[in-house]
Amino acid sequence: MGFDGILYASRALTANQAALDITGENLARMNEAGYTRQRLQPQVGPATPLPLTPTIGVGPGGPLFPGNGVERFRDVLLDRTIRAQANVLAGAQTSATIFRQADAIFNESVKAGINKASTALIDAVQQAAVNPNDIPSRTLVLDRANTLAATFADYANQVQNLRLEAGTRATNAVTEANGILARLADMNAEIPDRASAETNRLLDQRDLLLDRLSEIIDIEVAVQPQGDIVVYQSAVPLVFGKTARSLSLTQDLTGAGVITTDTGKTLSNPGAAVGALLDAKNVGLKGFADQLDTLANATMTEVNRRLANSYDLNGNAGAALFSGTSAITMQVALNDPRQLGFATASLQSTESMAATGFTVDASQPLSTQNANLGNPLTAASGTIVVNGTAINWNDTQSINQILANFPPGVMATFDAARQRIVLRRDPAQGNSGPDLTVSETSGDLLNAFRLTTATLNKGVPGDAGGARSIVALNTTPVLGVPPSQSINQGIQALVQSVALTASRNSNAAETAQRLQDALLTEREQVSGVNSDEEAVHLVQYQRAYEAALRLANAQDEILDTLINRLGVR
Amino acid sequence: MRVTNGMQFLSSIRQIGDSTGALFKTRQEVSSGKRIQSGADDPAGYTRLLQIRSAQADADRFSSISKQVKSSLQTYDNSLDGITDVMRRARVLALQGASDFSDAGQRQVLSDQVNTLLEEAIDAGNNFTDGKFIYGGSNNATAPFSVVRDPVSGKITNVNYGGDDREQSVDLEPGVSMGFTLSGTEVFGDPPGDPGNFMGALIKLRDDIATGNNAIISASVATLDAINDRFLSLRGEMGVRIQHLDNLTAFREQTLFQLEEERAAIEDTDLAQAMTRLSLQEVTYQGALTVAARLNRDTLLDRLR
Repeated sequence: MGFDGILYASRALTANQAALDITGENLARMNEAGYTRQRLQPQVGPATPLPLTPTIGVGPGGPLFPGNGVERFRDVLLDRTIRAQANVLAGAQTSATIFRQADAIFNESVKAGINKASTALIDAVQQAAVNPNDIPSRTLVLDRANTLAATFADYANQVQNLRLEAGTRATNAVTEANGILARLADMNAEIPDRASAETNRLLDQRDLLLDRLSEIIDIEVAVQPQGDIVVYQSAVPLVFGKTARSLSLTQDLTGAGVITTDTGKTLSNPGAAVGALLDAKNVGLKGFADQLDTLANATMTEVNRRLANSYDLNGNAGAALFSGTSAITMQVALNDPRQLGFATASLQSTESMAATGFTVDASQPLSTQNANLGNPLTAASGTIVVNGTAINWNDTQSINQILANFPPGVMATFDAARQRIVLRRDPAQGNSGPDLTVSETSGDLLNAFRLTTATLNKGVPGDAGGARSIVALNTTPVLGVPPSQSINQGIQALVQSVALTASRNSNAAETAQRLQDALLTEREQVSGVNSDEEAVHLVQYQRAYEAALRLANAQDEILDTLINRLGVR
Repeated sequence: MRVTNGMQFLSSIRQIGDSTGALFKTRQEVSSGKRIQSGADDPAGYTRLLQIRSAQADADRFSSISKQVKSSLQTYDNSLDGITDVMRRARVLALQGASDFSDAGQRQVLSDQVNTLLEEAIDAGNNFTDGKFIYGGSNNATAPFSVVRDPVSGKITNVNYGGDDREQSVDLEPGVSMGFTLSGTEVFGDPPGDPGNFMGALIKLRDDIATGNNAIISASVATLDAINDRFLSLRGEMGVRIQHLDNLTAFREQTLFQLEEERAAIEDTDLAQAMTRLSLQEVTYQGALTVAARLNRDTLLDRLR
């Protein structure tokens, strides 16, 4: 037997000292972000004593040798799950934040709002319809129209700003991702393939970077046999060995954002925060902006059409109230309230269609009514032209059937009491202006119902056919093909859509957060530090250290006895 | 289960966050009096809220318009009352004029009185109320009745109508419209020459009384009676429309009340329930704070010497 005991004591002292250091590091860094608890792994070395190798984790040794490394308590599969969930959570939270802002823009709970502005304009036109020649009532219409146009423009501007902000955030996120990718490539070179406290510090940093990167873009991480990693996105390697690809984001307000690498590869599905930002900007918010444009354009087109198809107080076709091609550019183009076309044209037969003492039944075929007509038919068929549209008739038709063929925009009725045809312009139809014209090309149907020489009533100040037509817009379907929604319903549908999107994303973010909390708790169970546990280890290693010291003292006394006292007299 | 210090703090922070969030929301509800702050709070309720508000706006618009329409109808009713009075006085004069006991002097006085009534009728026909000539039809910016006077006597010899027959109407609700004007021809009859024209009948009566043709004057009484029937019929029609409007208003008010009840149930905070919830959440919050304050107060490390 040699003096192995002192060797054991020495190594035990070193090993327990190292274990105490690790325990101290656990306690000191327990609240540090990304810190993973460690434990020294002592190892029983070969029976043959080897030279002292006090360096932790590198050399072989004898009993109670410090071991081949410092264990880092980490669950790789759990990390993978957490990063996948971080991707989902970051996307959901980003979307929730953006759509909550959109919800605030479209919030109709407050006293102002696009729905209220639209209703207020209809209210004003309704008031003017009761007093169409009243200038203050007309001026109120202009004021309300200004408010509606400003509200549309304001909403559209705010949505556009939100889209621009999403784009800026996406650009910043890609810049941050580039920094992380470059650092990960550097770390591939820095991290040695052996476990040590220093190695573990680098691994903690790398895991933190990967966690953060997975919040920015959706990634897959593959650990190589030498300990370095390869980071993929959409099957495109972004980090491999010491190389990191640089990402660039190309985007504008009309097209989708595209992320490409410096080698020209496109990341088709970036996911996480960047994916959510681009999706919100180019799909969700763009959809709201498009709907706003649709509503603004429908409002402008339909109101302007009705005004143009009516007469103003000066006897001219009504001027356009709105100008612009989108919600942002929508504005009021009219300053003079007299130019609002609220009156509709009418035309009626110059004289009774019936012969004196007779009446015409408009529901019976003309051939059976010939004797009742003021002038008998000169032909069995013919053609009349109403507002430029040729209407063919024959004597097997009734007056009502012929009138039913009149073109859209011309409301034709037979006034049975006066035995006359009455035409009124329907301002909601067509864009041919407010006039009504009738001519006959053949057949002389009582010289086209005695309308060809009738004087056009160009709408008079007290007439409000055009104004009433605008009021009817409140409930008339004009959106969709075929039209199925009124503008009012379209506005409500848009506000509802924004609310639903915001709510859905908030709920998704909350659900994702709960799951991520549970996963992080799982990770904390594996990798977190428990101070009581460390205190026990502290006592354990301290006692072992004291025991080793006692062993060294005992060995020392033995040697002292052997060397200094044996045989000495 | 291995519990670490980090887990405890993490959990505590989450619980405090949850409690604070719930408290914040309830405090907002209580202080604003609104359960729904934005659409995302309750999309289904919010959608219904938008529909209710739209219906309320329609009801408010109806209320505002119906007041104006009713006022207009009452204006016509009052005006018709005055015109009917003119007609009655004319009828009395006609009966007096047709009497064999009237001499030429008396008939001239009666004729002058009829002429005065004619002037009153013209004034009534050019009634200008609320910024418009009410008997002009839709052409109501200028006086509808113009007169032709004898250059010597200054008496009216003919009356022309410059208005039109177009009735002004208003949409009370989709598919329901109501006329609120009467044209001059509807009330006073077609242009002179038509026996039913009131002004023409007065001119004729005036001249007939002056000339003393008793038989013709007696016939005028029948004409005036027919015109009176038309006035009564029109007044009856005004009354029916006003009644219809009142019925619609009552129905609308009932609907409005129901809508308001539904809106309040969706949007407004149930204060009793919210305050109870607030108290409970405050207790939960205080509990979470207390737990956080006690975290790791005593660990094994504190006991090591």
